[in-house]
Amino acid sequence: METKPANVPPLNRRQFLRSSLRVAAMTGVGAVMGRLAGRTATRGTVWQIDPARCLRCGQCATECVLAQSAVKCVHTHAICGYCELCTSYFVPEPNALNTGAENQLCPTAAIRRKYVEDPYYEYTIDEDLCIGCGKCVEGCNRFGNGSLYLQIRHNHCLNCNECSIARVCAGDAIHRVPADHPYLLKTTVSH
Amino acid sequence: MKNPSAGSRITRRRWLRQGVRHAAVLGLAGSAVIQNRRQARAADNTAPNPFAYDVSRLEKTDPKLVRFAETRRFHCPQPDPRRLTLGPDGNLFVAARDAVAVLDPTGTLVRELTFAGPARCVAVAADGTTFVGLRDHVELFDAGGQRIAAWDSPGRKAWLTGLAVGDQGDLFAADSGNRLVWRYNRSGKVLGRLGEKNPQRDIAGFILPSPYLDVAWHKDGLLRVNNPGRHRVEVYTRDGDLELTWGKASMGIDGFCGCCNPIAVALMPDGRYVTCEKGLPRVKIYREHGDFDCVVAGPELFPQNARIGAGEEAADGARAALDAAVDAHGRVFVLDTITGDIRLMEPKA
Amino acid sequence: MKRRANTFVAGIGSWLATQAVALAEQRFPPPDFESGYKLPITQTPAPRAEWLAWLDVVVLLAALGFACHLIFRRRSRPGLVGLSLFSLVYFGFYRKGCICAIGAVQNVTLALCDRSYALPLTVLVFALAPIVLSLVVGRAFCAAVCPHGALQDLVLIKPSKVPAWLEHGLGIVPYLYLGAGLLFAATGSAFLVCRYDPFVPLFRLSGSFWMLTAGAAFVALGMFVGRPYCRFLCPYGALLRVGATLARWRLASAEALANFVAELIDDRQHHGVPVPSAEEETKLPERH
Repeated sequence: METKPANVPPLNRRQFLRSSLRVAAMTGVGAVMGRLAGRTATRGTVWQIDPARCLRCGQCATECVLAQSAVKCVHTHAICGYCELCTSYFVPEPNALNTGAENQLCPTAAIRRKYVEDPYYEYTIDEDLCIGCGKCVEGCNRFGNGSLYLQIRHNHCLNCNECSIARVCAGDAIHRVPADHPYLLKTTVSH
Repeated sequence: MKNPSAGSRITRRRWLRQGVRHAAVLGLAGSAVIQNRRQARAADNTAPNPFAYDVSRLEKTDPKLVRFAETRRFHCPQPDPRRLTLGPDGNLFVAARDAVAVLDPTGTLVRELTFAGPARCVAVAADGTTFVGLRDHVELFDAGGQRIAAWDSPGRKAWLTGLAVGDQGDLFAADSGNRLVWRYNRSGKVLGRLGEKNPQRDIAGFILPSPYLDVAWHKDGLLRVNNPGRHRVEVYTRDGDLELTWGKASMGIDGFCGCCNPIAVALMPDGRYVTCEKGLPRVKIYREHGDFDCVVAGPELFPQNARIGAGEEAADGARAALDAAVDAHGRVFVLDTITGDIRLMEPKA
Repeated sequence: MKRRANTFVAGIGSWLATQAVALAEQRFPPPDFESGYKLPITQTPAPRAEWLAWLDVVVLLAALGFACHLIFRRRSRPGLVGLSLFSLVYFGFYRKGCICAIGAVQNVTLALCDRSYALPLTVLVFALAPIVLSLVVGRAFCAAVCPHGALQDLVLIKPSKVPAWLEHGLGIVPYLYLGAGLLFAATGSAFLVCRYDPFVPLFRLSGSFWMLTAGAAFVALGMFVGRPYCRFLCPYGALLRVGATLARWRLASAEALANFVAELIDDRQHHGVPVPSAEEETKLPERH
């Protein structure tokens, strides 16, 4: 059996303090984990816009950390009136009801207009072009049924710890929602 | 062990003193920044929006076109009013959330007819019989407010939004869901379907992106119906023959704005039309063949209605609408569905 | 930043309320299409899968373990460089710098102070694993796992010595930043560390002008000053620094390392353990 060499120094004060603090810190970390373990969420959350609170302030287009915002316009076709004169597609006083650039409300021409049958037209959003400015949403809400609204698209959103749009949202409309229900889609409007 | 570097001279007391000083500065700075952030956040709401949908120019009415002035205003006692009409005794009947409120011309509540669901439209016959359109069927009440009958629903998609009593005791029910006008007799039997799409009769059909079909009966025996999706008013005989259409889409004062207007139609004693629009909330008068006459009330009178309709407040903008009823003296009662106010508009001297 | 759980509940509640009322009144039917047109369904692209978040945790723990192995067993500087590159690519450019341990400690602070905030388990592990490791072996996370440090290490071309007075003065900044970050997080006001991280915009390849400029400035400075962000700003590094001073087996300065090795040799001699020859000792990791 080995015996401790005579010239091995005993534990000094600094080593004792360091060891004690280390144990205390470990205990603290354990306590934090224990305290939070009961309140941790097993499912993650993502950011989403509540259409009922959105004020179309335009900051979704400018405040996202991405070069092209992760916020896009979304269309619930079941609410849409399929109007020939769609106030989300056309400027307030268009020259003609056609796809001419001067007649379109969207600054990036992200809305596609397709004839269905007299007098109905289908309007769809090209998300590659949409910048989430909300101009069409405003037109749809003011004069139409409100079938267009803004949503954060999770194939683009980075799910930042602090959403830079939520920070400045004029309507306090952006909150965290469960990742397994990541969208707040409109299914109807109350007429 | 690392030796303290020469010249540091950090003693325990000095370290603690500096630490307390730093913590105090940090706390003050944090409080200041948090307070500033709150103020900045409040200020963000007024930051100009480069993508604003600007129709402010259209919200101003040329004063020369306004020939009516508000002489009285009172409030509907029931929430969520939708339609109003005048009875033979001059009382106002307002269809609201779960009731029809009967008000005298000064706005005093006379009685209420209550329902399990929202009352969407109402009409009163000359004998005082009250017809109330709930979403999918009509109920009848006598002059004393007692329920007489409840008619069968005309169908699964029925969505009644306007009623008018004809001169033969028949009732015309505007059904936005089925996109037509039902003609009933007094016992609830369907006598006809007006306005249904029929190329043989040269009827294009009603386009209703939203439930605002309305009807108005005139003593000339013709029924007026709005067609919001086509931005016009259509005139039918009681048998469903289309006599006349007029109207155009325009944000200008002489047309019907937005995607679907007018949302209500009433008739002056001389046959002129009173129309109501949403989006740019305004009430206008057109002459018998559709020529613009004058403005009863412009968007300036309905600021909250316009704001909520535009979604500038976190409230449901889909209900932002107006309705109008005209009495025998040509005075126009205008209902604001957002504020619940009923304005009496009388011709200016 | 708002009280997230409260606003989340409020937001969900208000949306559900409107939908409930609306559904109770039924939706006004869309037009009857005679051509057989079918209404399109609104597309809902799913967010990142849940299991990928756990994969990030596994990669983090594996990287930390491998870093310890490289430092203490292999004593391999090229290995650490390789691991740094991997961390830069994975945690930096692939994950775009989020989630990271630096910001995760704010979430833990918020969870401790706000009972209504439910912290994801993955975030808890991200925040605490490097701290626990620092209490045992020192700042292994900083050495080869943190993408911020990895980026600075890789751009360092001509290290210059910072004057002692400046280094001492700037050395207090990480602690101040840590305090501010935790204070703001605890009050639910903001996640300062995330908001003002200079490197995450570079990883994302997008961001505000000033943050991109700050990131570029740190990269440029890092070419001549070793790890400026780590030494003079990183709040998590301040936390790990405290933990590392308590570490059982830590590599501090080169002098301390030499002393440690000398003690180790001395200890081995006293216990009759053969002392490795000079050839068996690999090059020690460089310290700043």
